[in-house]
Formats: sequence, C-alpha cells, structure tokens
Amino acid sequence: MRASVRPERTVAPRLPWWLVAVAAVGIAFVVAPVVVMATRGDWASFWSLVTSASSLDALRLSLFTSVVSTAVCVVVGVPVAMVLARTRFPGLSVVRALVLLPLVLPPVVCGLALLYAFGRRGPIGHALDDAGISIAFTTTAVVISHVFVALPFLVLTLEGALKVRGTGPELAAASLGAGPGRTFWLVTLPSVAPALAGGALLAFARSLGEFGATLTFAGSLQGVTRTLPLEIYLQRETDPDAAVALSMLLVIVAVVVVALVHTAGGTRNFRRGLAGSVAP
Amino acid sequence: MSAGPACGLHVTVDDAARGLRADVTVAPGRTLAVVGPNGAGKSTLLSIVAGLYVPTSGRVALTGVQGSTRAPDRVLTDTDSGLLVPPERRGVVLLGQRPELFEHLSVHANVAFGPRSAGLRRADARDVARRWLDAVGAQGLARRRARALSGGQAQRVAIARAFAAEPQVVLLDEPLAAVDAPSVPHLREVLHRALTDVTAIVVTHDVADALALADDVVVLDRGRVVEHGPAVEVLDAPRSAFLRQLPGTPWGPPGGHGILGAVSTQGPRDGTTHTGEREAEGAEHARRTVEEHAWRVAAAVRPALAALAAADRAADLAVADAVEDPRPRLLAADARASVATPGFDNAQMDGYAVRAAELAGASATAPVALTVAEPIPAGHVGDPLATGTAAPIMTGAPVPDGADAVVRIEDVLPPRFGPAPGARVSFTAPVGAGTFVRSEGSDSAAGDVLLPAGSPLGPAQLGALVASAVERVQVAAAPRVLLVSTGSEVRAAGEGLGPGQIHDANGASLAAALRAAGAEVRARTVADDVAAFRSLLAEPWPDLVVTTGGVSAGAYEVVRLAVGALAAEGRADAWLGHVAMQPGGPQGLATVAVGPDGGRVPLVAFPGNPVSALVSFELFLRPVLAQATGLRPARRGRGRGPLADAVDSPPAVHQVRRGVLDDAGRVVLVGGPGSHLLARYAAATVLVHVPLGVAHLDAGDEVEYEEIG
Repeated sequence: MRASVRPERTVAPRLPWWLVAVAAVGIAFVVAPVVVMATRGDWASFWSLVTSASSLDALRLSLFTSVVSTAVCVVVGVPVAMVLARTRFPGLSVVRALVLLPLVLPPVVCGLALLYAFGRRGPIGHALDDAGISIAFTTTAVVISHVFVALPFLVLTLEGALKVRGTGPELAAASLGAGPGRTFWLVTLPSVAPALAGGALLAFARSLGEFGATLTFAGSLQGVTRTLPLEIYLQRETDPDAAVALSMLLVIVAVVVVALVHTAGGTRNFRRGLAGSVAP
Repeated sequence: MSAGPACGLHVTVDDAARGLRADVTVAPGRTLAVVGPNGAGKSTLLSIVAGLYVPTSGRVALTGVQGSTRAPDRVLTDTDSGLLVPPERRGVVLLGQRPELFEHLSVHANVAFGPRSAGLRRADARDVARRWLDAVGAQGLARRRARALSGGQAQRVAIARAFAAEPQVVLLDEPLAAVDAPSVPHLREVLHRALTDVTAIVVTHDVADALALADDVVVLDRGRVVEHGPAVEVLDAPRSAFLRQLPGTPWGPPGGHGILGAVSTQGPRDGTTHTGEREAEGAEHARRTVEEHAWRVAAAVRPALAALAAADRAADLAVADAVEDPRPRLLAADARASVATPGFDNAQMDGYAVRAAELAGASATAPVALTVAEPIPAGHVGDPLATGTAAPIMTGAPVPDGADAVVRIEDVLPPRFGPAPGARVSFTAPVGAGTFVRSEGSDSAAGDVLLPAGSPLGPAQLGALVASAVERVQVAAAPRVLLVSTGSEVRAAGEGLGPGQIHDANGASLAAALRAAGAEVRARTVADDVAAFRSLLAEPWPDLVVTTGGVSAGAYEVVRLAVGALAAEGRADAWLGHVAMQPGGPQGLATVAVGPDGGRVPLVAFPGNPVSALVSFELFLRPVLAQATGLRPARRGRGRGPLADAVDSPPAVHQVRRGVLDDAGRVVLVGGPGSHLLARYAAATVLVHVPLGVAHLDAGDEVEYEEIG
C-alpha cells in the first residue's frame, strides 16, 4: 500500500480477520471457475469459432433481443415501480409479490407459464392467433420471455430508489404548483435516473443470460430464437471448444455490462444530460 | 413582495386521529406564528392547509380573495362536502425544515420551477427567479447545482423558490431549525422581509423566530389553542404554561440557545475566517432583530427584578410619605381597605331624598306632592325622614334614615331649591329604590383587597388608599442598578477636562433615565482597564448592571474583554454582538457573578455613543423596568403620522430617528441618523421607527413613532 500512487489518508474501519478470510474464499469461488474455463479454451481458433454463421446469428439475436426487452422493461417497469412505491391500496403487498415472482421461479417454469398463456392453445395466444398474429417460436416470443424474467430486476431497483428518495421533492413540486405529470417528468424521474440506469443495466444483463424460459417458450431456431446461451448449450454437445469460445464472448459482454453498472461516471453523465434537457 | 392583494385564511379542524381541534384565522397580509410543545398538532395544521392531510372534519378557505372582503371564500378543503383541492392548485406553498431542493437542477432552475409551473414563459420565469435570488442574497449561487450547496445556502434558495411561486399563502414549518447557527440571523432577516404583506403561517418552537417573523401568535398545546393574540403582547405577557416556562428557565428555548442567545464573547470579526466562506457570510449578517434582543433582555432581566417584590426585599412604606415623595413604586403585597368606602349611604346628586314607595304612582298627569323637610348639606347628618316628606340633600351628604332614593333637583317641580321647609314640591315620575344613592361599602368593604400585589402606586392608587384609611403598604424594593460608563477619556460631570477627554454624558442621561424609571443608581466611570471594571463587581450590591461603551470591535473594548475573562473563568455567560438597528448596533447581554458568593446578575451592555445608549435604553430596558417598578405609562405612547420630508435608511437595519410633530401632525426629523448628536435628541419629542427592510420613505409616507417628551 505504501507504494500506491495516491496515498489514501483516511482510516477505514477495521474488519475482523475471519470476515476477510471468508470473503477471500467467496471471491475465489466466483472467479476461479471462469478463470479455469478461460485456460481450457482453444484461443488460437477463438476468432474463427465466434465468427461462424451460427455464432454471429446468435450474438446478433442476443444483443437485439436484450436491447429491445430492456427498452420494454423501462417503459413498463417505471410505471410499475411508481405504483408500487407511491400508491397505497389493499393488496399492494400481494401485487408486489406477484410482480417479483419471476425472480424466484425457475426459468423453465416461467417459460411454461408463458407457453400456456401465449401459446396457440393459451387464451391470449388463441385470441392473437384469431387476429392473425402468431407469437410462439418467433423473436417476439424471445423478447416476451426476456421481459418476463428481467422486469423484476428493474422494478425492484427503481422501487427501492424511489422509497429511499422519499416524497419530499415531489410534495415540494406540487406545492409549487406542478401537476402530477409535470412533477413526474421534471422531478421524480430525473431524481431516480441513476437507479433507473442501474436497473436497466441489470435487466439487460438478465436478458443476455436468459436460457430456460426462452428455450421452453420460444424454442431454438437459428437466427430467430436461438440466442447466445442456447447456441452455447447446443455447441457443447458437438463442439466443446466452440462452446467455451462463445462462453468467453458472453463473459466479456457481461464484464462490460457490470463495469457500466458500477461506473458512477456513466450514470452521472446520464443524469446531467437529463437535467440539461429540463432546465428552463 | 406578493403579486396582487393578499387574501386571508380561515381553518377549522376537528380531527380525532391526531387530536387536533382548533379554529385559526390569519388576516390578509399578516403572519401568524404557531408555537407549542412537540406533538401539539402544529405540523398537522400545516399539512391540512397544504392539502396533504385530510382531517376527519374540517374546512380550509381563503377569505376575501381578490382583495375584496365581500368576495366569496375560496374553499380548499371541506370535509362536509368532500371537497379537496389538490396541493398544486391551492396556491399554498409549504416550506419545511429541509429545503427539499430538486438536486438534479441548478439553483436557478429550482427557483424558476414555480413560475414555470404557473405557465410563465422561460424568459419571464428567469426574471422572477433572478429577482428572488437577489432578494435572499443568493444571486451568486444561481448557476450552482442544488446538491453542491451548504445547508444554509440550500434553505436560502428554498425560501426564494417558495416565494417565487407567488403563493396566496406561505406555510413555514420550522424554517430555521435545520440551518447551521451562524446562518440563522441572516435567514431570519431574509424571511422577515419576504413575509411583508404575505399571508403566512410559521410553525416554530423558537420564540425569537416568532418575534422576528410574526404579527400574531397562537399557542397550541395538545391540539388546542391555549393562547392567541398579537405577537408582542402574547410573548411579552404570556399566559400559557408552555410560554411561561420558557423565560423562567435559564436555558429556555430548545435548540441549545439560552435566553442570552448563542454564547459568544469574541469580537464580531472573530470567527469569520476559520471555516471558510459560508461561515463568513453568516457572521457578517449575524445580527439580531430589535424585537429578538428586546425579548432576550426582558427574559434575562425580568427574573432578577421579580425578586424585588419578595418578602425579604419588600419595604414597609407610609402612604403619607409616598404622597410627599411620588416616584414609581409597586405594591409587594395586597393592600386591604381598613374601612368601608363610602362609609355611609350618601347622595350622588343634588336633589330630594325620598321614600321610593311614596312616589310609586307619580306621573305627569297625576303628580305626587310631598312636604319639604330640613335640608341636609354635606358633612351633616339629617333627621330621619318622616313619611310624606322629602329632604333637600346635597351631593355627598348622608342619606337620612327612612329615605332610600334621591330625585335629581331638575326632575322636581319646582326644579330648584328654595321652597322652605313645610312647603310642598311635586314629583312627576316614580323612582327606583337606591337611585342616586352611593351605598355604604359600594366602593370597597372593610377588609376587601383594595389594590392587589403588583399594582403601581400612582396618584389614583394613593387616593384610594387614603380614602380607605390605609396608612402603610408593602412596596417592592427599587432595583439597584450599577451603571458603568467605560472609557479612559470619560470624566465625571463637573470635573476639569484634559486633552482628548470628555464629560460623562452617558452616565448623566442614563442615570437620570434609570432613576426616573424607579431605580436606585450607582453611577461609576472606569478607564479601559479590565481589573478596574472587575473590581466594580466585587460588592454584591446591584440587581442589574448596565454598561455603556466597550462592546464594539475597537482595540480596548473593556466590557468585551472583562466579560470574556469572566466567562473563561465560568463567572459569566454572555452574548456580545450586533443588533440590526441604527443607532446602537453593538449590544451585549450577559449574566455576571458579583460579590464573593458569585451570585449572578444580568448585565446589559449598551454602546458608548450617547444617542445610541439612550435609544437602547428606550427600546430594551425601559419597558422591563416599568413592569418591575410600577412606572406608568409602562409603554411610551405610540402613534402614526406622515413624514414631513423623505428619508433614506439602510434596509438591513431598523433605524430609530429622533423627531418632533409639527402643528399639522407631520413627523419632522431632527438631527441625522448618527449617534453622537445628543443635543439634537434633547430637542426631540418622538422616536421615529424606520423598520427593517425599508430603504426609502417619501414625504407623506406614514411612520410609527413613540412619544418621549
């Protein structure tokens, strides 16, 4: 530490030694498998493996569906979080539990539920079918399954931030003559922008890694519903090297996403941009 | 500073859930302070007005909207009809302890938020915001991000933001409670100015806030209004238990400040540099309002003076001596009548003493005639009244036995005295028994409390005592005041003057003023010498110490140095600072230990300039002394009159000018605003008040004055 470039002069509170020891084990537990996998990869042919037609299709589809589902999560999740955080009605806690259900359900169960609702024989799927819209086994189905499992991440993050924030600024805005709409756009939303960005990134990450619900509900058609995790699972049967290469690709994307979540700079710029657009 | 004419506010609440039952009215343009202990329902009241809480039963209405009292009320909440206007459409702005700024916006955008919400165009909103940032002294912060502000700065911006929304009613919930101490006086001043002509309610537990900001005060206790009235009256003579406990305790108002105010024995220039810009800004404006200092002086001095009426200090005084030597005196014990007054039934009018029953049938058409008896002059006891007779009687003469009424001479035929005894006079109307008879003991019966303890002993009271044959009374001791004029250049009146020396004008005028107010005075002069000053406190004689000079920021400020030294030894608590007034800015208030036992007495420090010292006495000490000594009138007569000429005044101070009233009733100022022109003061008959926040008054503008001569 003495050699560090910028010496830290404040004294952090001391931790008991056993806590640090357990933490080291925990960190190693998370990092080791990824590192070991990376050493097993066939790095020489990494480029050709990840640029095969099926791999590129899968990567393109994964990024596309994750971006679209994140956008849907934001559009739907912000109102849900607002209702959960700012309204009071009987059964609110039940509604919250149900909305957050996909967090605890096995993804396969999620996929099954979606299949029964949106599948051809499901009530919603049937109605849509009558209207000439078929969802099952399309990219739309992928997005639906992604939104289903990723939405709770955004709602949970945003609701927490709204509650921590309190209603003080909103009451101040109302008392200054701003109606509910103006208050939402100019006060509430900007004040939780960092949490919204964080929640959106979590939802994006969850989308990117989605496997079970997608496989169950959307199937595995190359270029249409076969996302990167599905492609990896499929390749594992035939070409383990390709599976490892694609896994490393997913690790890289995930690391970038996690880095974005934890870089305060990114969110602060986001917030500043938003503030500039509403300032009179 | 508000747009358009102000409207009033009327709130009635009966809420079981929070135990609040109150009926509160705020007159248009006035500020009402709501004070009371925690849990009294103060914040609930504000929430109800703001539309954030709906009581089980209640009504909130803006009265006299559009400035016309005949305009119908604008009802905001009415539980009977289920009406609830949402917060954003009530025209009511609530400012709490926490500024609740929009942290993602700039200071400027925060202040412009209200005007923009009201539909103002961007440029207009910018002008309004700029004006209010100027008004609160935050123009330098406009481009800063709200989250980058200190607590005091943020609250200042929040004040600007609240007023920029141009509300009908402003609600302030402990607006200064969370502000760091150095910023409080300046923010209080900012609020004081902003609240001019604005209808507002301010909830506070700090009496200084209530005094500085409010026109009227309501005391809430456990959900009920226990006291209500103009701020000065309520806080000067509080009736409620909550208010009375505040001045009585040595460290009264919650928040860590004592009666004296924040303790400071440093010079005003100290403390400005060590923690940076924010503190410097606060210290520069760290001034008390005149009202606050007057209240604190009263709170510190009053307990010491109250002891003068205690049994061990009260003195026995012959009423005859008091008549010979009239001076302000206060009864220390009830004075009881020795005899009844009047001592006998007597006539209130010149006329005829009669038996009322004999005139029962009298009328203009059927007059009753009675025989005239022997006349009864005052000081003469007449014979009992025979039936069928009427005795001529003079005012004050004893009513004869048998008679029970007096008929005025002008109501009798003939309407004059003259008919000799034995002649007949006619009565044309019946008369009630007891008419025009002052019955025995009707003024006071023997043993009645004639004058209660605490009464002044003025001409009327002395007369009443003599009438009731009271010869001796218990009177409160005269307060013993040690008056110290400081300065090496000061020489007692009559001494020869060396170069650079002056006569002690302060000592002369203050000693005279104190004695006229009923005090016993020892006047002393000391050089700028701390030891000499302290030696004056060696004898435990005074009830009160008054000093002049030595409190400002000069190099040899002996009062400041001596009190500072005493405070360091734990023998004094002191506040030495500035009051926002001119003349007389530097002021001090302390309790100092006197004598070997170290008993504390209050010390009031006035500035050294003669005019400042005398004005300070008038504003801060005379009213308190008057209460303790029986000086009457206790308050100088006040009036309002138009100015004869325009006047300028620094808006940051309450200026007290000297003047006279001309034949047309106009106020003519004499002398300048300066503090050394005692000869001009001597010519003045009124003190003229130019309040805080006023920079200029034109000829013809009305000002308030106090009659001093």
